[in-house]
Amino acid sequence: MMRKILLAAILLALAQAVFAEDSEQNEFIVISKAPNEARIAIPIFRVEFQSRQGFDLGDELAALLGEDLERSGFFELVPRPSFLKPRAVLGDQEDWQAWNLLNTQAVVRGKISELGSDQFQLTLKLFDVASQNMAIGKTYAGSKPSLRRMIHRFSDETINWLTGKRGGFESRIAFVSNKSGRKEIYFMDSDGFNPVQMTNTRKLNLSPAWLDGSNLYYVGYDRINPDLYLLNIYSRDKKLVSTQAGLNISPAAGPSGKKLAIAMDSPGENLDIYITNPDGSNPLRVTNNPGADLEPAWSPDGHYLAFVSDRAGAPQIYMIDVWQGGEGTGNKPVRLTFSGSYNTSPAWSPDGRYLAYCRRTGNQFDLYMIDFQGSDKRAEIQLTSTAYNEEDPAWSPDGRMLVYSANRSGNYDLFVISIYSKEPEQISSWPTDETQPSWSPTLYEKGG
Amino acid sequence: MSATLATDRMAQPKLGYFFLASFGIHVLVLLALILLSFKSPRPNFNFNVMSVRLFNPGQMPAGAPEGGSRAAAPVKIEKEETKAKAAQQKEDAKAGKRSLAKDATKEDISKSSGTGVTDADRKRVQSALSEIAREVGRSDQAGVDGEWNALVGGINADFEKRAYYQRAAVVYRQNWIAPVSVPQDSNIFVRVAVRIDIEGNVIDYQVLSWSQNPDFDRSVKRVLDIVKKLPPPPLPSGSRWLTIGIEFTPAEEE
Repeated sequence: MMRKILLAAILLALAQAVFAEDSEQNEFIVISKAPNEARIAIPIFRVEFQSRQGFDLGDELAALLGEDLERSGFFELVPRPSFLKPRAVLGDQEDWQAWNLLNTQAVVRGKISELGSDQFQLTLKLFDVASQNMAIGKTYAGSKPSLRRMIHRFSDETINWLTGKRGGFESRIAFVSNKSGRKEIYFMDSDGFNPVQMTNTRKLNLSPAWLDGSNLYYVGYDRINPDLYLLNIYSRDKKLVSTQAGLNISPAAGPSGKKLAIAMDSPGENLDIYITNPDGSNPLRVTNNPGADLEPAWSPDGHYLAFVSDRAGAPQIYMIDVWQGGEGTGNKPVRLTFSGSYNTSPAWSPDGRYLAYCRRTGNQFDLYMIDFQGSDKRAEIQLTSTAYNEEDPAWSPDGRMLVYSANRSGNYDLFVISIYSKEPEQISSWPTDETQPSWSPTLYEKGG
Repeated sequence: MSATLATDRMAQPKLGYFFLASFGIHVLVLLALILLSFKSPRPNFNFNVMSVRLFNPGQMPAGAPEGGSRAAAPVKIEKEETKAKAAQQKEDAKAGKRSLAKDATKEDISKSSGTGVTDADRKRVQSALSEIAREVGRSDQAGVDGEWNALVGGINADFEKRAYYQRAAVVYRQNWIAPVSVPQDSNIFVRVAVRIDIEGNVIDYQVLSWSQNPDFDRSVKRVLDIVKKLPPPPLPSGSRWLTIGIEFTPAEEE
């Protein structure tokens, strides 16, 4: 008996010895760090041709890149006065120690050269200070007006370097403005530059919605009846898509542009949601309710439609699984918003995680998001909280920013907001009302 | 006579059992010794969690630690330092004093001397900590923080090893950019094992578990790819490399 006990004790001791070594040798260092903006330095780009205008161009384009990156919410600019090298514009050999002292994680160097009459070449390089290597190197060529677009493309590349997913700056925003005295459709670059008037019908034009980077739907009153049009922004050709007597409003192009959701007056009834082909043919009724149903928004996989309905008395946001058929077949929509007496303008983020919308509190509108993937199911996140109206949210193609209209300066202007920094920035400043923005897909992907 | 023979016959099997048991024990001891002395060429990834939690150099005050010396449980350090203390430390730094931030730190060491820490150990720790103070950060405060952090946290490793972990963590932390799209309040983490040779070169790494958050995972992957060189690790004679486990996790805003 004693021997058994002795044997067991020895075995136990041996086992302890073996496992004790494991526990001593194998341990984790816990490195905990708050997510934060990456610090990036953008010295003035080098201009390799002689003119005062050339120097301004180097400054202007470097500033534009900085504005893009700051607006994204991912980057913080290292202030130029803090650069340790006065010849920052010229440095071919980076002083990594100096950048480290400034706690800089990336440096962008740019060079502009003239290729010929109104033809420029822009070379941009992003250096990763930690690895002391060039992480991105791009050369673009084109006319002077296209320089801004080159910068937007490089901004998207830089965001891709940091996050693994391209940004959405190389894109356009369509909107409605009454600048000409009537509500017409316009579009501009994602940063508010280069506005172009697309319609000039001197009638009412509303609700622009991009089908792709070249075509957009809108509601026009050319024929008195609010009909749905599809407009090519390059050729300016437009064609009628839906002309049913009564309302043809709230267009929303489905994923890949294969389907279109619109709100139409059902014969003898009220406003309902329909799904049609992109050209308006073969309409299928989705909602079937005595209340008014409008403002459909597709989930990115085309599985669900969010929409606004006043079936419960006041406008609220609902969701329906369109793969299960229409409401008339017993497929009941699910109500998504319960707080607030007035919730409208749903917009699904491209990754499907968020549903942005507009809520009226008292007499003013603010922007909110439902987070479908948060730890709290369907947690509501308030994006804006001001004394003004913030309305009509629309997602950037990368799903990190929203454009919306707000009346901060008395009239309605367009603003963009990063869902991370939640800091709005005004991108239009006409004295008229600019509303109902719609953000295009990236031109990089769509070849627009 | 017959009774004696009978007793001897009965004793023979017992003797056999005894030899068998003795042989078995010897074999087991030999096996155990072989196991203990054998160093696997592959890193062993069966890690416990070590309790070094590194705060931002330059911001982490030299306050008292909450935790003691429990193994396998992260120690949280509260930011409690008053402005007066910070000002005092700045003055000390200007005066060239690079002593430990708080007397309590020294007390911890002296207390531990009663539990087997020798003067040689203490000197070794002081030497390691002085090195951290030089390397942890650019400011004196950062150096003090490094010293303090190196002392807290109940880890089983010896002081030298602990100090080395701290220095390695500083390198990874400095080069890690967790983008703003990573949720701060989530409990996500990425665990990796990194193999370092005797000169401090990172031989390779293996991700043990991903967080499933694409942005967070990518940020960790990036820093793992970037860091190629660490300070030379304290290796026992005969060892060619050290494997360290690192857990990356997002923190609340600093």
